Parts: sequence; C-alpha cells; structure tokens
Amino acid sequence: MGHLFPTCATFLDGIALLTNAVCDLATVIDSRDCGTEKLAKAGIRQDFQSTLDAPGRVPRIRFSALSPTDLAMGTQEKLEAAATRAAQEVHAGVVLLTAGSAVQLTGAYHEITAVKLAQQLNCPVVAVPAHCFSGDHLDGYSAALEALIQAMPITTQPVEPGTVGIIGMPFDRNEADEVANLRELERLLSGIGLRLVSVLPSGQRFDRFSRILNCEHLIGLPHGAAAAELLGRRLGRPVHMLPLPMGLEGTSKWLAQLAESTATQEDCRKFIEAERSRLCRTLRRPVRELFVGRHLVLAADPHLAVPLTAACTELGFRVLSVLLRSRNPALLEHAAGALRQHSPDTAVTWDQSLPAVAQQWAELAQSGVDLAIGTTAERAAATDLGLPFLELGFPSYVRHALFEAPWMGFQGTLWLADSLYNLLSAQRFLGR
Amino acid sequence: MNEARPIHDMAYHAEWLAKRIQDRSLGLDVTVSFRPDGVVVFMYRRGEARVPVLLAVGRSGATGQNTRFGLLFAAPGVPAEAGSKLAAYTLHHLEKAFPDQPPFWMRRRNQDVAEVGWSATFLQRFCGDLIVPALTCWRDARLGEATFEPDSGLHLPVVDNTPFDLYVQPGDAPASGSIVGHYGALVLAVSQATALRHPLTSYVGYALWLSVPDSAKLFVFDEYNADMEPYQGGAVAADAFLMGDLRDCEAIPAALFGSRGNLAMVYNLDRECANGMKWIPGAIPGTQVDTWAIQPSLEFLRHWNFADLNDLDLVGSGGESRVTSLIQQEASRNPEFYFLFNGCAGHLMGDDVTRCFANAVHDRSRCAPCLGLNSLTPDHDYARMWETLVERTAPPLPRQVVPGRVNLVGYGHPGLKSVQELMAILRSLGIDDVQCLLPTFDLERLPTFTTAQVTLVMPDYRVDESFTRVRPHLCGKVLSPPAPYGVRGTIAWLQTLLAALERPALTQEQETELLGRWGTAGFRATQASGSPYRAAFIASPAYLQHDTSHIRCGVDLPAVLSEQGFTLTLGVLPSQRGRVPRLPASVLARWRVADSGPAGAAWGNVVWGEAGETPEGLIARCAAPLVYSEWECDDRVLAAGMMPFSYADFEMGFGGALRTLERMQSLVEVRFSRCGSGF
Repeated sequence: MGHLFPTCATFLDGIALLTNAVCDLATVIDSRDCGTEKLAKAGIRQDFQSTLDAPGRVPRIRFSALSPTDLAMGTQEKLEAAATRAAQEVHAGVVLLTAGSAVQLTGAYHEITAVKLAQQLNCPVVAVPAHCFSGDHLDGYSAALEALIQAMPITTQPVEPGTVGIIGMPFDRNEADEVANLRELERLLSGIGLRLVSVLPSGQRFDRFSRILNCEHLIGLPHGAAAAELLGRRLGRPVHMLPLPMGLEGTSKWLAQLAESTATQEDCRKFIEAERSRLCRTLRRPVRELFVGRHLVLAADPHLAVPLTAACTELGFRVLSVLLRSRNPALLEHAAGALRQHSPDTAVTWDQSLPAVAQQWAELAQSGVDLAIGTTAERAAATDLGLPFLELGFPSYVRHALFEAPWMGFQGTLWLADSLYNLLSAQRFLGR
Repeated sequence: MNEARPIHDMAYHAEWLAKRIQDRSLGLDVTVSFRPDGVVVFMYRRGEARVPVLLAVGRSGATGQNTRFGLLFAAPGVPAEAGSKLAAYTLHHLEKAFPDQPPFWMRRRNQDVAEVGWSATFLQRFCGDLIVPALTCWRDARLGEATFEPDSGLHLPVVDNTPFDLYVQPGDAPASGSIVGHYGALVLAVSQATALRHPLTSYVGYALWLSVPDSAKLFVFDEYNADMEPYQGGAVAADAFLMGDLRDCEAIPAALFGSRGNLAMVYNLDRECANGMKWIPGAIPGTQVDTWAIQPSLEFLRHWNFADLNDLDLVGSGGESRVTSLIQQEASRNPEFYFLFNGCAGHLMGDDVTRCFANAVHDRSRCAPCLGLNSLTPDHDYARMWETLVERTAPPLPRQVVPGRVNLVGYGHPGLKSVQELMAILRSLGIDDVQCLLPTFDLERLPTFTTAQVTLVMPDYRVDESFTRVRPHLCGKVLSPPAPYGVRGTIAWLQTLLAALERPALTQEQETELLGRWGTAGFRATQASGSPYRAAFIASPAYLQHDTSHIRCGVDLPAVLSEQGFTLTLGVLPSQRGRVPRLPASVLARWRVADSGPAGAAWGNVVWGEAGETPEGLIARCAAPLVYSEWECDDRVLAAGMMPFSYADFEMGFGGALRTLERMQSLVEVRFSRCGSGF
C-alpha cells in the first residue's frame, strides 16, 4: 500500500546535502526543532569530513525552533533571529532559508524576509520554497543550488579559452570518493585538451562560485540541471547538458559529445581509445571469470541509476530490477523510459518502502540474485537475504571513502569493477 | 479560464458560486456576496428570514481573534442548530462545486460542527476562481490588479520591494504514462527580481501574513541562545541514545516494539516529518556507539505505518481516511496495543487520530488499549505513555506486594550484554522475578509492574522525569542507588537491593565467588598490570558546580576511573569573561582532585584554563592520553594526539567492569593517534 517508511530521501535531506557541499553556507529551516537528525544524516553519518556540525564549531543548519503557537501566528521573527545568528556565528558567505512541512502547510513566505535579511546582514540571503510534501532530496539539492546560482553576482569576466566549468555535481560528501570524482573529471577533460576550472558544488566557499564565470565551456550535470540552465540564461551562454559520465561506453560518449563543440575530435578519439584499451586489459579477466551472466539488483536515484545500469550491463551483469530513489514524476518518467529502452527486461520500480524492496528482492532471489547495489536505506533488504551489497549514493553510512577512488569516469569504472569483483570473489570463496 | 474576463468582476464570481450552491432542496434561496474584508457571504433566505453563512480567510468569526486559518461558520447571532445545518449544507455544495478538487475538510467536519477551519494550503484550490478575487479586493496596495488571460491564466502582479508575478495556469494532464498519475493545475509565483518560482501557497501565505497585525506577532525566542557545555551534548550512544529520547513521544513505539507484545503503530505524518523521527533499534548488541541508530531496522519498519501525507492528500482526503484504513488493516492482526501519533501537519489540518480509531474499531469494549498522541500537544511524552500503559494493565486495587519481585527502571535495553549479565547475577542470588523497563517495555510483563517489592531506578534525570507519573502506582519500595558501574559499584548496588528485599547481605565468600564467576579476577590482574594512567575531563566552572556533574548517564566517573587505576585531571575552562574562578572544596572532593596551585598553572589534578584559552589549548596542557568527550570522535581531542572517551565506553556489572577496563587500556595504549598529532 506504500504506507511504510520510504527509502527515498526527502526534500530537506537534499537541502542539507547541498549545505554540506558549500562550506560557508548556513541554512535556516523554518520549523520546529525536531529535525536535528538532518545534521547527522547529511553530515556526521554520511561524511567524515563534514563541517555541518562538529565539536567546537557552530552548526551550519539551524532551525527557527517554533512553538505550536508560532505555526498559527507567524514564524518570521524567529526565522529572522535564527538566520541572523546563523549568519554571524557561521561567518556565512550565503544564507539559505527554507521551511519544514508544517510551516509549508501554513503557507509561510520567505522571499521578502530574505531580501530584508540580506540588507541587514550584508550577505546574500536566499529563500528556497519548500516542497516537503511532494519533493525528494534531488528536488531539494537542485532547488538549493539554483537559489545559490541566482544569488551569485554576475560580473563581466574575461573568458579563458579551453576552460570548463561544471554545474550540478552530485557532491554528497567531502570524502575521498567525491574528491576523486573531481580529479577524474579533471583528468578526462585534460585528456581532450580542456582545463577544468570550477565545479559547483565541490566543497568550496560560495565566493569561489564566481570562478565559473571565466570558463569558456559550461557543463550541466543532471543533479543541478535547473541551476545550470539558470546560469546559462544569466550569462547568455550555452550549457552542455550531459548525464553522469559512468562506464566505458557512457564516459566515452560523454567525452565525445563534449568534444563535438569544444575540442579536437581527433584528440578526443585517441584519448578514449587509449583509455578503453587500458581498462579492457584490466577488466577482461574479471568480466569473464565472475561478471558475465550474474544477476544484480540495484537502487539509485534516477540520475545515477541509468548510467550505473548501463555500466553494469556493459560489464556483463544482468540487471534484474532497478529501484529509482525519487518521487519526482518527471525524473521517474524520463529514467524509466531510458531504462526500458536500454534494458527492456529490467523491472523498474520507484519510491518503495524498505519492506517492499526486501519483498521484491526476495522474490527475485528465488530465481537467483548474486549482488545488490544501493544506499544504506536499502542495505537491510540485501542483508536480510545474505546478498553481497555495494553501497553507492546518498545515504552511504556504512561505506566511507578513506582514499581517493572515484565512481565516475574511466577510473570510476575500474573502481566499480574492483568493488563488485571482490564482493563476488569473497562469496565464491564461501561457496555461494 | 479559457476566456479573458476582469478579475474584479465580483458579480460574475458571486453569481457563479450562487448557482453551484443553490439546489432548493431546503426550500431556500441563496445569494453570494464578497465583503471588502475578503469574507464570502452566503445569504440564505426563506421568506423574510435570512441566515448568513460566512466563509472567511484569516479571521475567526467566533472569537474575533486573528489567525492564519480560514473558517466557514454561521454568522454570530444565528441559532446554533440552524447555523450548523446551513454551514453543513454550504460545505456540501462547495464540495460539489469543486468535484475534481474535493475539499475533504468540509466533508468530515460537517458531521457535527458548524465552524470549520482549514490551513492556507487548501486555499490554493479556490484561488483561481474565488479566493484571489476576494483577496485582491481586500488587501493592501501592494497587490496589483489581476487579470485573466487565455494563454497564461490568472496573472497577478504583487508590488513590493521584491515584486513578483503570480500565474495560475490550467494544468496539462499527461497523455499517458504508468508513473505519472496526475498533474494538477500549474500554479506559479515568479519573482520579478530573481526569477525564482514559488508555489501559490507562498502567495496565499504572504497574503494571510499581511492580515496578521503586528501586535499579534509573538516575542522572539531562539533556543540557540542557550549556553552549551562544549564537551556535553551531541552524544549518540547505545544506552544514552535510548535515554536521551525518552522525552520524545515519537520514540515510544520503538520502545514497545522491543517487547514480545504485538503492537500496532500508525502515524499521521508526511515524509519530511517521518524523516526527522528519532528511531530506536529493536536490539542493541553492545554498549558501543550504535551509528545506525538513526536507521530503523527492517523488522521494525515492517510494522511501522504512516499516512505519507502529500500535496494531494492535504487537499483531497487528508490524513484521517488513510489513518482509519491503516488502523483497520492493523486491527485484523489483533494487536495487544495501538499507538497512534498525529504529527504537526496532521494536527494543523485538524486530524484527530483517536477519532479515526473510534471510526475504525467499532467494538472498543473488546479492543486492545489505544494511546493517541499529538506532537503539538504538551505533556504527550514517555511519562504520559507509561502512565497510560500502567493504568490499563495494572491489576485492580487494592494491590499487594509480591515478595522478591524487582523492577529495574532505566538500566537499558534487555538485549544489552551488561543488562543480561546483571540479570544473571540476580538469578544466581535467587532473585529471578525481575522486569527491565525503560527505555523498552514488555507488554506481557507490564501487569506485574505495580506489585514489585523493590523498584530500582537508574540515577539519571531523564529516567526520573519519565518515571514520575508511574511512581504513585507502585506499592513497593522505590530506590535510586548509584548505578552498578565498576566492581565496587556493582557490589554496593547488589547490597542495596538485598537490603531492600530484606535479605541477608552478601558475605565475603559470596563476593569472592561472584567475582570469580564473572571473571573479575582478570579485572584485578589487568588493573595491576597497568601503569597509572591519566584521563582528563574538561568543563566550565559553572558546569562543575552542579552536584551531579561527575555522574554522566549514571556513570560516576571519578569513582570508576579511580578503581581502574586512572588519575583524573580536571581541565577547568576559563569563564566567558576570562576569569578563572576557584572551585569550592566540595567540588574538588566530588571529583577527587586536589587544587593548591595558582591559577593558570598545572598543579596536582587540576589544570586551570587561562584567559582567552581555547578548549584545544587546555586539552593539550592537560597532557592526558584520554579526554572525556560526548562528541563522537571529537576531532579536537584526536587532533591533539589523544583519545576521546565517554560514558558509552562504560558497562555495568562485573563482566562489564572488566570489559570497560580493557577498553580504556586499549584506548590509552593505542599509539596511532600520537603519530599524527600536530597535523
């Protein structure tokens, strides 16, 4: 019936993730004070390097701490007080205002408050309309990034030839895996003669966002597509909207598509060829030995699920089912369509509860499932069945990255294969 | 909205609405008018008699008090029965007037009341045809004149320091698609300055906000103003985590779920609210920090039902119908107890979960007890829940004490290794009728609670708060001895219990036998092999003044550390004004430290913070390998090359004392952290 706790993260989780990804952003949630776990979810549990909250530091996510009466009589004064305090204590480069579900229900309006506070605090203050009742973490992340792009001052800057800026990076933590993704993107672009100058967000301060203004080429990734489009509109320049670069084929296409208008086609072709040759040498044995024909179930957000499914299929896996971790109809429709086109036999579900996922995976396991990929939210379903589990995406409370290993690009394909091989190899050793 | 028409043509709207209200089934005529203050008046007439029913926004007809909510009510002075009937009649027809946008609040409210409230969100369904025209007549000059345009729908400029345009566009339903079931009308407010888009609710909220006079705005209160101890707070530890949530009623089902009982849990919540829930896992393997505590277990989630309120529900059927069906679904399992919870959103909508229960379960005389709580209602917490449980499960009065029966309150989850060991020790002493309560409850054993000869309560203020309400129901003795941490602490605790049970005290031989059986000989050996170690506790002078500052979550730190062979160094932070005050002798005695040196110098077991000194500086000067911190993996301590420890590292009982000592020694001896200090 769908009335059990969902695995899909919420709108405010997305806001918290984005806050974590911009180190001087202070976010004030207009709500009661019962959401403090959000700090733990996007920060402490998800990210060992998080600065959302830490001993001796002030928390960067605040609550207006409303009483029940405030919900009826107005929240503005408490919101302003909390935002003022947050801006001052955090030394915020930018302050973001949004609302919890109860305040959204009362129809609170924050934009005027944001303008008033920006004048008082002498720092950008932006309001993000809350979508707690229907949005998910992707909506929250995207909306918050869009608001920051809107708040970014646009000045006329000289464009540096051959430079690239990326908007919409799914930077869900400051740990080494996300840092490695940045390095891999830098390496990929360098391989086709381009220089990566700015990635939004990537853990940097808000004032560093302006470096993207110097970039000759702008790339929009799906996690911040709206923000990328907005920046393109504000700058009056085209933005290359691209999916996440994952897998051999996916990364090759990503580079080729980019090179069509930004780089020398021949250089790009040579780079891709060299990389694919390198990877194939490493991967041919694991693919033949353990991957081909293995059954896999997967749970990921729609932006990640499509390229990840393609990458797994390309390695020889049969993806039996994909759970799309979203409740955004447009995203779901698009991703489901892409998955149907790419692997028509794959069962696609979305926005499931953990018990429902467990039931579906258990039914599939009766005819054989070898492996599951998902987030912490689905881990218990795999554990219940004794399935090897690779944790990828938000939340990732169990797997942490202590050294730089990307999951994007060609190197990310190696990491994926490495992780899956070792899980399956250990299972084989146990005779399963 | 397919033809352009002036937005201020109120006669048009009045006529449109009157046509939908009028059906003559009551033999009444009705006219509709819009008052300048935004109130829609439905005037019912029969002959000369007139009964006005008002639909108001942002104003209560009954009290005259300003609120954010809209109300439908009979005008003051109308006889109650007639008013109620006509309000119900109006609601019925309004519902029919908006068939694809059923205003559920009308249907379920008109059964027995005449005055109806709804929140601003619901108004969005009326905005295009009713409310916005009314508001544009009503409110201030900041609202520009609105127009309908065939292409873009309703266009309403809002003139303010952040001007924005409001558009209400007809929705385009998708042609097909298995995923997308419905697209509602596209309603956008677009800021002229920032091009940000807002849902229409923001606008309505804004308009309603304008209606609240400044005098009605409340005082400013910011809880972040409160001073926090730099080293206390933020702990997420096994027992402590459970204890810390005792005052949050939402955690109750998890406590009950841990029992053998069959519990039905139904929450009237949206996802965001559910996502902020404090979860308690069903069982905890040890005392180490359970980092997955915020992720509920699969088994728990299989039994946890919630309404999953979304935008459409808020406007459509609301939470009550879904909660009712979930209760019915749960009732088929014949649960022993129902727990119903109404979150903020449900409460604001006026949902009533206990009424849902009444509707869902017809024969309540044969039904299991039900507890329904509201998140916005004070006094709905663990204490209240526990009292309710006891009232409904206790044997009838007069009750008699059952000799030898013991309650352990607040000692932790029965699955904890140290709690199981305590129970085993008690069994070895012939005390086998023992019940552990708080933070979890055993529904099957709960009826025996009130008749225990002795109830031992963990000395912790959170436990005490929860216990207060049920204390009068007990007919036996209630004691709160120091918790059984450390070998000596455990023996003292056992002696207290035996005395309360009026049994002979432990003899020397019994003590020796117990210590031998629980491996505490190893404790002595381990203790002896260790060199004297130092552990530091950093706190402000104000904190140290508290009588129980040395006891954290039941652990008497100086006593237990001393038994383990540790010397305690007390690091006293400078006060906010930079002064370094003296500590009274009683404080020093409590902490078992000496202070005879001048301020600012390390002397004996106290290190005084210097004016302006940071906690990190003081940590370094304490020079102890272990520093107490309830922040998980406190980087201030780790960066100084020291190891943080907290009450989460301490276990109860004899075996627990040994494991604690080994853990503390491991923490001291780990060489890793010192390798990286200063980096």
